[in-house]
Amino acid sequence: MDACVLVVDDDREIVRAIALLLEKEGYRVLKAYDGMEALRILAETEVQLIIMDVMMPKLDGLSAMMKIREQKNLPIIVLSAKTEDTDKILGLSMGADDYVAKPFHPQELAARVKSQLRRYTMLGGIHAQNAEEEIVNGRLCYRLKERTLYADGEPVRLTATETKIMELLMKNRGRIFPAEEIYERVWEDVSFSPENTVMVHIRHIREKIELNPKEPEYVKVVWGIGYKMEKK
Amino acid sequence: MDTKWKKSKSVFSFMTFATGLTMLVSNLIPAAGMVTAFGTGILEGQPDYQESEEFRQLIGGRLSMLMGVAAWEKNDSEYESDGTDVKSRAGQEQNDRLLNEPVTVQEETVVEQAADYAGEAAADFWDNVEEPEAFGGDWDAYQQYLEEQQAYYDEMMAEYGYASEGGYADYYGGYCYGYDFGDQESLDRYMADLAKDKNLLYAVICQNQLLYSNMEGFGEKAGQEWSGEDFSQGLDADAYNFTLWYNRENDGKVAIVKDGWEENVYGNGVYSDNSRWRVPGYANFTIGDSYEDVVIFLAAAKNPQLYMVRENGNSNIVEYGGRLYRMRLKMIYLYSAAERTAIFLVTALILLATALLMRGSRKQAVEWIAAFLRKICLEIKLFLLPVLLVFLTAMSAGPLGHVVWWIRRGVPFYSWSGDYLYEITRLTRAGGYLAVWFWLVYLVVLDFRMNRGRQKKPLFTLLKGKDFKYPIQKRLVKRQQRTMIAELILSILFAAVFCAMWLFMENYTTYLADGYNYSYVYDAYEGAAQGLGYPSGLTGFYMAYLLMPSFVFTALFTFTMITFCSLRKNYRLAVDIGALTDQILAVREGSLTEELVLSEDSDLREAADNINQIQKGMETAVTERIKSERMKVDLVTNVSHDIKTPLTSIISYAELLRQEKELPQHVKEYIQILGEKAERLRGIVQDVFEISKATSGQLPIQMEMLDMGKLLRQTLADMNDRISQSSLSMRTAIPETPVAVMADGQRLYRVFQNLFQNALRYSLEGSRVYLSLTEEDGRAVARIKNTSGVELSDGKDFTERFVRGDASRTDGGSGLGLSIAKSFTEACGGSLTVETDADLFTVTVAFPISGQES
Repeated sequence: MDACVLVVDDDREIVRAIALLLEKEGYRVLKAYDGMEALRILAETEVQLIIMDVMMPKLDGLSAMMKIREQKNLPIIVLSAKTEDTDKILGLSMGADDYVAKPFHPQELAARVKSQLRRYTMLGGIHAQNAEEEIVNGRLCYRLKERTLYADGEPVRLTATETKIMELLMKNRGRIFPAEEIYERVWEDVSFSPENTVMVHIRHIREKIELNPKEPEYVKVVWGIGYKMEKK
Repeated sequence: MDTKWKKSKSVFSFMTFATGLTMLVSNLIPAAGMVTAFGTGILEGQPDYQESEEFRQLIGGRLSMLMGVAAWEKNDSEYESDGTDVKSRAGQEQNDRLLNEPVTVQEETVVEQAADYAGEAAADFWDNVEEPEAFGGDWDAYQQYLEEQQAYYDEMMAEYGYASEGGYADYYGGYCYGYDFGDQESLDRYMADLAKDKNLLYAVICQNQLLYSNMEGFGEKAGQEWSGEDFSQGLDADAYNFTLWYNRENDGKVAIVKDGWEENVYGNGVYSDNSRWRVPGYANFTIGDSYEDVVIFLAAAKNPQLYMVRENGNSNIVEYGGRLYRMRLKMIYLYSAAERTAIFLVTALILLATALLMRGSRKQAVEWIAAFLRKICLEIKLFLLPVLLVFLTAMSAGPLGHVVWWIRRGVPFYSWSGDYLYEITRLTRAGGYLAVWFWLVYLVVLDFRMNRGRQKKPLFTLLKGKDFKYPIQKRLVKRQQRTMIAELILSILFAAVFCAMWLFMENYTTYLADGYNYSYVYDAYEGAAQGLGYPSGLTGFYMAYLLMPSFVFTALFTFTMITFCSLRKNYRLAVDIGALTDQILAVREGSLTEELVLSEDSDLREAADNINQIQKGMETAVTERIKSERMKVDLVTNVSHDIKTPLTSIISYAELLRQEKELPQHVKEYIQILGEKAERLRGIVQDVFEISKATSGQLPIQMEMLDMGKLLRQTLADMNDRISQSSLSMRTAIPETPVAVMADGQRLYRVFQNLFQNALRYSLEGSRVYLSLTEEDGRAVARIKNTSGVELSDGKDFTERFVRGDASRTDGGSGLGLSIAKSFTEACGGSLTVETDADLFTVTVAFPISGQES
């Protein structure tokens, strides 16, 4: 793995920390400290992924991202100290592939980098499959024949029950299932206080497929109603 | 400036139009009368009183009277000796002759003749009645004097055979030509008065003997022989331009010379209604033998003067006479009236022509009038119109009826009373009424044409106030209702009483009209003609009496209008009170932008202004508060952002350190602590950020229907690991049936997560935490009870920010848990309360149960 990652932030220490982390993971890292510098480096060097802060001098992250998007289609992960939903939506709608709020866990960032790079480099392979045989939802892909869930193109090791739950949720993305229904359809038994049982399994699934299990993006609890697979 | 000019132009145009039209309409009838008068030759050329019918009547009457005087004297001398009742015999003879004669004179004419003589005597009599001025303002004395005169008059009329009951029939039965003076004394008195009138000179000759004359040089010759000399020779022809001879040629005919010209007295020689002179000598109007030796001479002055009849030394009373003088004044007045009518007509035509040129700009003014009429409510119109119609009809029926009579009968307009001046004033009055009628019709038509369908609400809707929603408005209108009804009854009563009174007076005065008022009217003319100015006392009274109805109805109208205005004001007040109450309600509801605008003259203007001020003040305060809240949030946002950036480095480098392999164990422990504290700091920053948003109401909330029981179970399941790791045990009582509430699930999860975390964190080791969900009074109530690990101090609000059970702040919490829980609960429409009882710590979260089951 010698993918090249460009890290852009006006805080040199953060850039250095991210660089160290990513280099440990085996990436080649380029550093830039403002938007203009990032554009210059991009013009000179082949880069596979960009991690970019929003608030920077000279050229801010969002503007730089729009400039980059005019020419390139590489994944961009936006870093921001703003955590409000509206900021997140703005970043994503302006072309970011992922949004990581500061302060982040270095492990989570690394996981997201890995995920984005895999998806970016393996796009062709995923697309080769027949649409009828697999259900694709964002990073996730469930192959019906294999009864296997893939995350970023890699098979996820799920137990039989977990696989059943995921099959149910992947087949009905966006629909909210009460715990009782999940229990009855997966365990094929009458439910009695299934909340705990279902929740345990959901938590386990999250740990296997979510980049940050504490802030899940795919398997979500709809509080007071049930559970659902977020449609991406 | 431009609109002002336009406005005044429009007003001017309409005023021109209105004035012109009023002048034209009101002068049409008098003008027609004048034209008839001049066209039929009743009036000729100049203001010559001798050309008037009244003068001719007077001459005819005077002639017959003097003939009667001559006959009296003759009868006296001829038949006195045989002792028969000569007077009645003389009358009988004349009567027989007239009746036996084959004449075209109809009975009616004879009656009229008779009436005329009585009337003339009456007029003469009242001419000589004193003016009130003569009594120097002593009204009682004058009243007494008038009563005496009235009594005398009645007596005189009775002598003429006139009685109010039988009318002139009695008179006709007794006498029809000449006069019966009853006795020599009254004859002498009459002749003595007559002699003083130098305006009308006379000489009465009987059997060639001069009986009476008031001419200079002849008055003393009474009883002497008349040698046939011409009396007119000795007279100044300029001063006395009218002379009349009767029977001078012994032919029983009258010869008149005026201004040196002989008049054609008899026309075609047959007497008819239209004959100018009613004197004997026509083929069908002759008198017999008893008068064949009577010769009479009359001469009238060109410019008659007022003369003194008698002076009563005791009472200082001066009696004046001057019938011809009055006739001349009337004539002058008549001509000036004709002149005025002509001037009015010409002016009217000029004004109308001007109005025609400016008719474009008149429209605006007409619209204003229409707008004004529109403002008058329907009831007032419906009430006023019939009242005006009845009143106007009553007032104008006489004068206008007279005109109609005159046109229909095709006889000269003066035929009613035979007096031009009186008739002209009647016609002028009729013209005035016509103008009033015209404008009434104009306004009604205008109102109907312009305001149809746009009529203002009828008054009674103002009284009903059905649309009002507040009781105070209804009360206000109801109060006005009572006042209105009372005022209406009062007005009607007043009008009725007045009408009754006026009608009574009208009848009474009509009864006296031929006597009193007739002469008052004359006096008014006289005063006007002399430029002396009037009214004299009684004339003024009469005028006031005539004007009284207009005063009273103006007063009533004003009263009605004032009542109406106050009613409308009251209604508007009620409407405004409604608006004000609405506004107060709106302000109470928190609407601060809509201003209450009442009209400038509204009674509640000040109150409205004050409300607006309060509103403005509140709005400013709220804006200020929102601004300061926003600043707070901004501050927190910025601070948290500024903390987050270095925190990122701390966490990152702590992680890097953690990944270092060859570090001593104790260093690894340090790094562990570093990581944990950095993590806690992250939590605190996030909490502070969220709570500042929640308390300033800027937290986005997505309300949805959810099952609170399920939410609690989910939260417990979510936190199951931590619960089982702790030494505490959970006791839950959550119903299986759904408890539906409206809330933001994500926020509510955070609420219970915080509450459970709190319970886990601060409970006494090994104790139990109780969670229950119940329905109480339509609310879903979740209670979490736990036993506190540390002693709780009383009176502490645990939901305040940074308040904790113990003040040491070493337990790993941010102190914001409960505060966030409370803010979020309230943001979702629920309530959160904390109770402590010794060490028992109870948190109650309540939400209204939503009707719809999920």
